[in-house]
Amino acid sequence: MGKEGGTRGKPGFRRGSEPDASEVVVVLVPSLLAREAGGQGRFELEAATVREALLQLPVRDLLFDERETLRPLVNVYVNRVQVDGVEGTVEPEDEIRLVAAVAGG
Amino acid sequence: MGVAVLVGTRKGLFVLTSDETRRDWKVEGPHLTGWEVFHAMRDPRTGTLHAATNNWVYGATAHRSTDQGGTWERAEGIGLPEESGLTWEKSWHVEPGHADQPETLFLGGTPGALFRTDDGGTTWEPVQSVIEHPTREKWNPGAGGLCCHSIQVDPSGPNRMYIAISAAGAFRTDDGGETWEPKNSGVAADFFPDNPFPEVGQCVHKLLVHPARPDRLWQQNHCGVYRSDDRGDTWERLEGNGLPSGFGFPIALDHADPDAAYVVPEVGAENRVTPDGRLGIYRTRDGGESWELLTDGLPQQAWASVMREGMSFDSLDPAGIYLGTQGGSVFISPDRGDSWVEAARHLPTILSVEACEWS
Repeated sequence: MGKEGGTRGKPGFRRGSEPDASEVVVVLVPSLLAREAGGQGRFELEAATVREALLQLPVRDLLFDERETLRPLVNVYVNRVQVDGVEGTVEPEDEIRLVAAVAGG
Repeated sequence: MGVAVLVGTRKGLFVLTSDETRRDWKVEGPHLTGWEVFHAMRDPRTGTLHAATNNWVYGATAHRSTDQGGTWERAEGIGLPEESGLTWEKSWHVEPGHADQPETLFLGGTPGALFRTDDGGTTWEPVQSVIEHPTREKWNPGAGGLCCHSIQVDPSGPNRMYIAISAAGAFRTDDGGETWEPKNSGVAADFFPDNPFPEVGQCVHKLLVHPARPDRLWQQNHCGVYRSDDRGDTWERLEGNGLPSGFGFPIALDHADPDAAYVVPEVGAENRVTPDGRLGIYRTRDGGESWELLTDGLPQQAWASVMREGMSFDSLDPAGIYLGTQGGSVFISPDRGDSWVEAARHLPTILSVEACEWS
């Protein structure tokens, strides 16, 4: 149960000092996703695009539907600027923050 | 042995526990915070808890717990095949498979889809014969979406089971899910005035198989209450003789009495609230020929509504009947409906109740 890793082989999670922190992007997820990830709300991983980063998360099935389309109420911020879609590139040390849209009741 | 009621709500899962007297109840929870729990059950074969879970941002999935709710695992990505053009929208109901297949379970939901697991709920595969059903183009979503909400496995063998979908109707397989035959003969679809008895398109609200007499089925429908004594081949409409309305959502049975059933009528489709300003539960003990209003312990000034998964029954003697309202109250009768206790109140909107053994 629970997804681990991405679609392209080896999972991209990085804990500790390997690789160097300057080579990874940081992904921050809301509390519900952190609970679903076993209590982990911050991930450091190697990725060239937002999509590539998010598909490595253990909660990827909650972010994307079965067509790998980002769910419409998941908002993505890169370095505190909201981005449209997940195809944009990211650089090492970038911060991707996921925010649930303000909706519901 | 203790008893529990798994109460699925819009804000997680609550567990009510008691002893066999079923008079005093302790409320635990919520579990699965952040999730809408459309239905939860304890698999009697393994003791594992399973929940059909949804979130308005993060979609539909299923969770399970092997430690009575202490920790939960999420199913691996549940999805429909690309060639179907469909995507999984809502998880509605999770049901154990046959006793001879302890690792098999079924998950139903929107859009009119059924999933099967043969590894205890780790991975779920869509049942292609439902996705590709030849009548699918005639199915239409009800107010809750095109939801597969009723899944019943015939206890006499794993090859026969039933599903019901709103608004597609009831279907039976006799070959383990290879094919599904519509079973709606005699069931009205009054919302089709040009063809009120179509092959499919009926709006079943809940369908149950009697556990001790599996040829007998009951259903609460958008257009009436029905009983079948021939595995769904034909249905008899039962309202009247004491039942104030044929419209309602849940239905419950008595495991020891195949002639007994319990419904919670609502005024009608355009006014979905219990009639006469009270919470009225109606019981038949003669196969639906007559109905009696149950009042002892139930609020006599109430405008309540109960969802399709909002009733349950246990396997104790005498049978216990369980009810959860959208207003957040759980009413329990330990004596086949003769008297009721309010086991909990002020819970979030209740979507489902399911009674089970608890240790």
